[in-house]
Formats: sequence, structure tokens, C-alpha cells
Amino acid sequence: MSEAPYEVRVENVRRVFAGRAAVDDVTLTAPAGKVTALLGASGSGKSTLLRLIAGLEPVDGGRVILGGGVASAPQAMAPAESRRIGFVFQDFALFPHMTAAQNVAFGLSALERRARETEARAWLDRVGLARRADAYPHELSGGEQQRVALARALAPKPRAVLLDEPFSGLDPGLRADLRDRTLEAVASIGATTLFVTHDADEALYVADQIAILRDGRLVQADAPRDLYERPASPEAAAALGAINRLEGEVRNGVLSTPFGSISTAAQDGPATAVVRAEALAFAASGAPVRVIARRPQGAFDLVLVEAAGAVWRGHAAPGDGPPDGGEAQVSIRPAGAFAFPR
Amino acid sequence: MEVVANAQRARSFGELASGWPLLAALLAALVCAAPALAVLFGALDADAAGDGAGNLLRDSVIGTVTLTLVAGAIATVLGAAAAWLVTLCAFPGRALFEWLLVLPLAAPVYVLAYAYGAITGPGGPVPIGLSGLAGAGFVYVVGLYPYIYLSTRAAFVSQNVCALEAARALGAGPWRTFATVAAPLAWPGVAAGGALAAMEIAADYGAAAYFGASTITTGVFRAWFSRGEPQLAMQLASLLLIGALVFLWLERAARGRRGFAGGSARWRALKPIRLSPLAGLGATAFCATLALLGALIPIAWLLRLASYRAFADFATLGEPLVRSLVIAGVGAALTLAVSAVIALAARRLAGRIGLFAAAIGYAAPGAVTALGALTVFALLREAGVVGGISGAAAITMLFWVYASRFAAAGAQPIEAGLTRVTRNMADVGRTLGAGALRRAWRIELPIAAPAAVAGALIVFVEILKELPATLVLRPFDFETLATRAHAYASDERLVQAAAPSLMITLAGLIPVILLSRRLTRSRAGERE
Amino acid sequence: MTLRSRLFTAFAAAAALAVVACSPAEKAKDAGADTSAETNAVNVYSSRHYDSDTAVFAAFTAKTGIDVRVVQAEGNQLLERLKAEGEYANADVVITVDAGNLDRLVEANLLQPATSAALDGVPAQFRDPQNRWFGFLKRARVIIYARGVVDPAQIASMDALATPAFKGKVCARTSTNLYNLSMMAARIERDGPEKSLAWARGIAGNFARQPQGSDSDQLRAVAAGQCQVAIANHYYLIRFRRSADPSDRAIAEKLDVVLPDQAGAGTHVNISGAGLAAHARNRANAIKLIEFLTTAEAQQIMSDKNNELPVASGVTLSPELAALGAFKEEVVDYGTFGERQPEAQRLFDEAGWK
Repeated sequence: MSEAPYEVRVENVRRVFAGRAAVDDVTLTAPAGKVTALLGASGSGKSTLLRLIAGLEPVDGGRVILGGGVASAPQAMAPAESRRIGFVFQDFALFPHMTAAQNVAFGLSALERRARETEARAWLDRVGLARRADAYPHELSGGEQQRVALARALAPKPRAVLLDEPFSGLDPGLRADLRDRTLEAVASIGATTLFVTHDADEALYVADQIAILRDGRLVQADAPRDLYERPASPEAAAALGAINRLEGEVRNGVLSTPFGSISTAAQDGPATAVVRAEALAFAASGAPVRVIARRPQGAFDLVLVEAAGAVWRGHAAPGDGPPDGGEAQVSIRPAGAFAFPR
Repeated sequence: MEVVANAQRARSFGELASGWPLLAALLAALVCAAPALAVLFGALDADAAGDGAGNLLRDSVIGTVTLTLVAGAIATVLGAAAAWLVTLCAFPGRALFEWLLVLPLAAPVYVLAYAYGAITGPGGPVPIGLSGLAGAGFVYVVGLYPYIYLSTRAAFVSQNVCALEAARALGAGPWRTFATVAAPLAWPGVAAGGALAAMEIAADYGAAAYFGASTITTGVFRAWFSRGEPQLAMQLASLLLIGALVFLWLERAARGRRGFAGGSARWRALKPIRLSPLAGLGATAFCATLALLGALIPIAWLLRLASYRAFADFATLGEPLVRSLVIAGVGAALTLAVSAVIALAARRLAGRIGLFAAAIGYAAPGAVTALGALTVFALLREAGVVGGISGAAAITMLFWVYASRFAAAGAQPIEAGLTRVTRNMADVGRTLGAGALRRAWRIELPIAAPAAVAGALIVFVEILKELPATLVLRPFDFETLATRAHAYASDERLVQAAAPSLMITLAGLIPVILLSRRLTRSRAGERE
Repeated sequence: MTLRSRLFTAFAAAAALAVVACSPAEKAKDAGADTSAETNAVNVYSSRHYDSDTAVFAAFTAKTGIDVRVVQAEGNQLLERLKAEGEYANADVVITVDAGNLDRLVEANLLQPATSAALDGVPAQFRDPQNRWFGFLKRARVIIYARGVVDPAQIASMDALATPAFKGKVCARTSTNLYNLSMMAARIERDGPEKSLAWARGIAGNFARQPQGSDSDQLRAVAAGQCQVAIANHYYLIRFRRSADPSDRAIAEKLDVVLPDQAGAGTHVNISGAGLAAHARNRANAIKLIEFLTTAEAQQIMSDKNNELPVASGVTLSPELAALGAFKEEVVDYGTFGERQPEAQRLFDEAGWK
């Protein structure tokens, strides 16, 4: 790698569409050479944030800083063409009139014709599409199109790669495999990666850092484990999986729930308790409750129980725990339970 | 900090800041609008209008408004109905009508006027005496409906079958599907074709003058050349241009904010609606009437006239034919380049001026454009840029006037084709380091190219038929089919004019049929 | 795609070259003809678009070895083109139908005097007093009537057509037509604007149908019984009589002609004329061509082919033309037409003659 990957930093960036802030005062640093996942529901501003970083949209406030240089500020921006950023769109945006190889070669205009051709085919080979080099996009499957789009984005050796939900349109069976290959390919050029997803598992699995966005604002950004274990808000906790919420009161550093109390460093006063579904333990000891429903969910069974007029969600290993319609004794594992002052 | 070094002023619409689209659009706008505007400004310092100007003004405006609205509306309804029948219904002769209905496009409206003047005139086979506004209107309807037919058919053909099938799945029958989904989706095509036809009507001189219809265009000539009142001519011409802009605006407004393209990218052949035998017969009769009136009857009449001279005139038409084809071919290529710049610039907010300029050029009568080009030429000569209009200068001027007149006809299909370039495609091009020029050349234009071919064919036929500008701007001893036909027709020698008129029509037939075939083929290629 | 676009560019360039090469003027320009003084050619701007003229130019070339190169367009457009080109205009001779056109060329200083002994032979009535244009062919504005329906004695004058007797019986083309404008210009010159307006009102009130179509169409309308009388140029009837189309000859059978105003001012006659262009480069050749146009030899060809009346004496008329007989022509100052025609149009507009 002759060129170092960018550290991608946004400072207080803001982008307004028709009077509504799509991205509002977001500050975030994506460390050089690392993978940062932008996690959020649709409309949370994550795609817009990527476009601001790529220079496809101007900022209305704040700055975008690439590798230490200001790339966007209100009234001044470096054009997207000169940013050395690779972008893979959700719909892949392959050029329909060009073959796979021509698509990949498009960004290699600095090379002379023969070298361009060789390099493009080499990249297709790397993503396992050497045999499809002369196919047109409409002749390729969704997964193949995704790989062409990736090869096209990586071929010019960008210093950062932005992926906008690149796997969301794909067959779930393909998805995990493709995701691993993609990140492997991105890692091979050592670029900084920002990657948008609404799938928490995906973010937890692949990212060095996860940034959670909601309504255009940054909720929290941290390493996956820190984020999982120490969410800063109910929203941050909710972003990484199913949770149970309970409004209560902290007294003497303790918040009580039907299944026992949660210790917290928070001041006394009204607070929101958040208990991850996987933190409900079905054990011999604990509060007895009725199981409303139990449904298989793959790796675990979803168990709905009723306590104090509310329905709680918990996970149980298949073949273990309380039966559907039966009684259960429930306790809370402290690692997945938090209290946030209101 | 290399990134910062490249930083430049940005506007709220992103990359539009980069100068070339605006610059190119301005240049293209200048090409299109300069001749017409030169006429307007050139007449500014002329004397005020004299007696009878009020009558002239009133009659002209009434004539043009009536013709564009009534004839334009009838042509639109007939053209759209024909397109719907041929594209979405099954009836006897459908495949034949698919291309027969396009034929009138190949015949100049003034040739239709001559033919119908004779056919319906005293002593003709149908002596009903077509004349005045009714005569001109009739010729416009039967001669111009193919504009709407073509654009509507293109809209139907490229329709998203999934939307139609979704409508059927939601319980709508074929007729309700048509009324609530297919027709609204085709509306931009109908509106675009209708606007083109309306502008053609407004700009026509030959047919209106022949039938003695008072229109703004004939009024311009009357005021300027007969009454010697350029000021009055200017007033009339500016009415025409303002009208064109209003039309353009209406057409855009008709598209509205609704999205028409898009949805799923899956296309499949539509299952045609099978008409009952009686309805099928009606459809056949309807289409046959249009084809007969618009092309077959006039062509037969011209053939009859040509037969009096044993078709001997055709032998002398070799050189004018080749010249017409070459001029039309090169002219279409150059015009399309201007159209492409206009269409590309129009995709960027800053570039819409080009579209308006093109509309001005399209709605301006050819002779006005030609005179405007002469005015601009005179300015250039005084500035010492050029000398006389000979050889290369004449040809250059001619191509310029063609571009000015017909860029709008080319820009419209290219614009439609460009909608196939998604924003993400353009954006991914940018992140791959392609500047605006390279994106236009490598991404936008190639993707719009199939649509551009339709534009090129239309412009080719238009140039083939163009008369007034070719007449006044041509070099020495430079005869095209149109000038040859005109020389005889204006001398009232219709028998001799028949051969070149037929030849124009025949030369126009090939591109016109190609155009129709393109539509059919794109439809056949939709199999999933 | 790139290959295709390259091919396309190459094609366009080649085609552009081909067009330019096709144009004879361009070849001449390459040889330096545009800027150098004299070549063995003469460049003509003509508003006449007749085969007869082509034949006359061919005869001229055969006789003198001088090439004739032509741009043909409408008179008013040639005027604009000459104005735009100014001193760079490549025209040596300007030929146009209608005296009004000739007068406007003079007014715009686009013609210059041509002097030669041969041209002095053109009758003074048919040339500019300063020799800036010379008339060489005449066309009479006549009354065509339905044979056996109208008594020719009742239509001995144009004024007669404006009387109530002909209400709903008259056909004419639109008033923008140059021949109508020139006829009206002569009338204004003779009778003044008020009487002329009254006459135009009379005609407009007598129309059988709104003005439309060509002079030929007026003749067809009379033959079909739509109207009984029509105003037209004389040669249209002659042309019908000599036509290749049998239906035209059938029409001619039903028609006859009156040369009006023989007892008064004489029949209105318009002219075609030629002048020396203000910036003529091939001056000597140009004068030779103008001289040739004024000869009986040239006018014989044009009269035979186009049925116009010669200005020169010594031309043998076709039997059909000769059948018109000798007639009294109205003597007018053609130099007033440029000014009078716009006035004529305004009066027509006021009179309601569409």
C-alpha cells in the first residue's frame, strides 16, 4: 500500500432537505483502516451521512475531514471526483451499457488501455467473477452484480470505501458469505471502511466501531462490545437487539423490576430500565410468571411472558426452559440490564 | 491537505456549481434562440403600425389560437387513440397500421396542403372546397397526428408492466387498468407529442398561406413584407414565442411532480386487449382512415400528377436527392449534438434555459429563423468575423438554422432517455473520478443513445422537409428536393412539383419506418 | 461503444466535407474566386424559379462561355440576404419578379447603374431612370370569366368587378400576393388612396368565397362555377390551355379572358427585371448577362416556356399568347411601387380583403 488510508472525520455536520435536517450535528471519527458500521432504521440519516462524506452532497453546517484535510465545509467542497473514495450503492448502480470488465475498468482511467483491461480482469478474478468478465449487468445475478460493484469501487485503490447497505437486496443464504468476502477484499487494500446497515448482527459481526444513528442524530459510537455492554441510552441499547423497557424509579442505586432489581450508578429518581431479551434467564429460582407464547426463532426460542400487566420477551435455548402456556421462573442477568435516568 | 486544495465554491444543488453544464447550456441556448431573438430586437426601432393593424392582429391571434388548440387537440386525441389501439389492442391489420400510421410524418405539411387543395378544390374528385382555417386545420390534423402517435406509443411500450399487473391484481379490469394506470402513465408521452404538434402548427407558413388562413405566422409575413411594418411583425412574432414558452411550461406542468419512470426494472410483453369483432372492425376503419388521409391519398394524388409527365422528372432528381440526404444526415448529427447538450444540461438545475431556447427556436417559423440568422450574420460581418455567404459560410449558417429550428425535437427524446441514468449511476461515476464531461460522454449519452436515435430520425426528416431557410441561405446552384418542389409549387406547376414532392416523401419514409420499427423491436425485446 | 462513436465522428466529418465539396461556390472559393476580381462566371441572385430561366442561362453560357451560377429564393429574402452580406455579397446580377421588389432593391442601395449601348434600347417605361434595373418580361393582370355565363362587355374594367352586379361572384387570391399589391399600388398612384380603398371594399364585398389558394385555383373555381369572374395573371390561362394534364385543358375550355380597362388607363402590367448588384465583382460579365436578358433571343425562350410577354420587339408569340391580341398597357411609374405596396396592403387590410 503506497497510500495510507484516510481517517474519516465529520464534525458537527448538518444537511437539511426541504426544511428537515436529514443529518443533524453529527460528529464521528472513522479510524484509518478500520471498519465502521453506521447502524440505524431507514430515514435515520445514515445514507445521507455517507453521501456527505463522499462529497455527493454539500454540507449545510460542520465539516468533513478526510485524512486531516477539510473536504467539505459550507460554501466550499472538494469535488467527489477527487476524493479517492470508493462507493458501493445499495442498487449497485452498474452501468447497464458496459460489461462487467468495462464497469470495473471505468475508474482506472489513469492507466493506459492495456493495463486497465488487465487490472479490471484481475479484480474480477479476486471477487471470483473471472468467467463473467464479458457479461452485461442484466445477465448477472444479484450477488454477481454486487461483486462487480465492489470490484469497481476497489479497483482504483480508494483511501476509504463507503458501502450503502450492499447486502440488503441479496438472498439471505448468500449474504453472510458475500459479506465476509467483501470485507476481506476491502481489508486487502487496507482502506478505511464505512458501511451502512440496519442489521445489528451484521454490524456487531463485522465492525471495529459501530455508530448508531436515529432521526439524523448520532446516538452513540463505540466498539461493538463496549456498545453492547455499556449502551449510553435506551435507544443505543435497542439498536443492538430486542429489549424490554420498564419505567420505574431508582432508589438507593437500585431499580426494581418484577424479576428482581437492577443496580445502577444513576442518581435516585425516575428512570427507564432496559433489559435485553437475552438477559431474561429462565431458571429454577426467580419470579414465577405465565408463558404466553413460545416460538422457535432459529438459534433460540422467543419466549413471551406476562408480569405486572406487561409482556416481556426472553430467549431460551431450544429444548430448554419453560413450555408454551406453562409456568416459568424468571430472573435477570445483570450484564444485560441497565437503568437510564429519565 | 491535497483535498482542500481542490475545494471550490459550492451551491446548494451540489455539483451544479461546476461551470460547464451552465456554459454549454448557454451556448446551446444561444444557438437555438439567437436567430429568433435577433429578429425581435432588430425590429425594435421600426415605425409604429399603421391602419388595419388591429384587424390583422386580431385575426392572426384568433387563427393561431384556434388552430393550435382545436387542430392540436384533435390530432392529440386521434394520435393517442391510434397509439393505444395499435400498442395495447388486438384487431385486424394491427401490424400493418403500426407503421402505416407513421407515414404522414414523411410528407411536408405544405405538400399535403397542395394535394388537398387540388383534391377538394373545384373540379377535384371531392369538391368540398377545403379552405381557410378549416383547410389548414384538416391538414394539420392528418399530417401531424403521428407526432402524438409516436410519443404515446413509446410511452405505452416502455410502460412498467408490473404496475399494470399490480393494478390487475388489485381487481381492476383491463379498461379500468387503462383508465387509471396505463393512461396516466402515458400522459407525459401524449403531452410531449401534443406540444411538438402545437408548435409545428404555430410555426407553419406554407399550409396556412395556401389555404388563406390568417395565423400569426402568415401575419408576420404580411406585416413585414407586404405592409413594410417590421414593428408589427415583431409584435406578432413575440406573441408566437411567448405562446411557445407557455406551451412548454404547460407540457412540463402536465408531467407534474408525479414519478413516471422507475419502479421495478422488470419488463414483459403486455397481453393485448382482444377487441370484439365489431370493435375490431371499428379500430381497423379508424386506423385506415388516418393512414389514408394522412399519407396514402395525397401520395396517390401526387403519383397521378407525376404520371402525366410519364415520371420523367424523377430522372433529374438524382443530385438533389443525394444533396438532401447528405444535408439532412449531417444536419441531424449536428442538431442532435446541440440537443444532447441541452438535454444533459436540463438534468442539472442550472441548465433549463436551454430547453426554453430550443422551444423558441422550434416555434419560430423557418423563414423568421432564416432572417434572424441573416441579421446575426450581418452583425458578425460588421464585426469583421465573416465575409459573404458563400460555400462554407452558407453551409455553416444552414446547419445553424437547422439546429435552432429542430434542437427541441431532438432534445425531447434524449431527455426521456436520460431518465434511465439513475442518480446513483452518475454518483458512482463521480466517486470513480469521472468529471462531468467524462460522465456525460461515457455514462449518460451512451445510455440515452437508443432514445437519441429516435430524435435523430425525426430531425433528419424535418431537415429533409425544411424549406424557407434552405431557400435563402443556400450557396450557388445548390438544389435540394425541397427547393426543387418549391420552385414548381410556388409557380403553381403542381404537375412538375409532384416528382420532387414524392421523392421527399419517399426519402423520409425510410427513417420514418425505421423509427416505427425501433419501437416495435424494443417491445419485442421486453421478454423477461 | 467507443468504436462506434469514433466511426460516427469520422462519418460526420467526412459528410460535412462532402457537403462543402458538393457546393460549386466552395470550389470556386478555393480557387480564390470570392476575393479576386473577375472570373469567367457570373453570380446571380434570382427570385425567378422557372425552367425558362435555366434555359436562358444555358443559352448565355453557350454563346459567351460565361458560367452562370444561381441562388434562387423569395424576393424579400434575397433582399435580406443582400443586406446581411453587404459588400461581401457574391452577387453580380439580381433578378426578380415584381416592380416593387426592384424598387426596394434600389431603395436599399443594393443595385448600381449599368450603362451600355445595348441597354439603352430598353423602353424607358420598363427601366429605372438611373439604369439600376431593366425590365425584360411583362405579365398582365387580367379578368378571367366563365365562358357563356358572363358577358365580357360587362367586365371591361376592373372597376366593374367592384359594382353590386357582381356580388358573390368574384374570386381572387389573398391581398398579400405581390401581383395584387402591385395592381393596387398602381391604382393608388392613379386614383389616390380613398378611391382605391372604396374599390377594394367593393371587391371584398363581392367575393364568392374568402381569398385562398393560387391564381390557378381562382381559375379552377371559375370553371367549377364557384364564382363567375376572377382576377389573375394572363399566363395561368395560357398554361392551362397548354397543360399536359387533360383536366387542366378541360378547365381552360370553360374559361375566357378580358384585358380590362382598354377604354381607360389600360391593363395593369407588372414586370420582371434585372439589375447590376451594388458590389458586383464580375461587372463585365454581369452587364453581358443583363444585356442578353433584354434581347429578343432570350425573351423568345422565356416567352415560349413561361408564357410571359416580351419587353423587346421581334419575339414570335405562341399561338395561345398571340390570341390575346395587342392591348393597351397602363403606363405607371414602377419606381413608386416600393413605397406604394405597403400602403396598398394597409388599404386591403382596412377593406377586409384577407
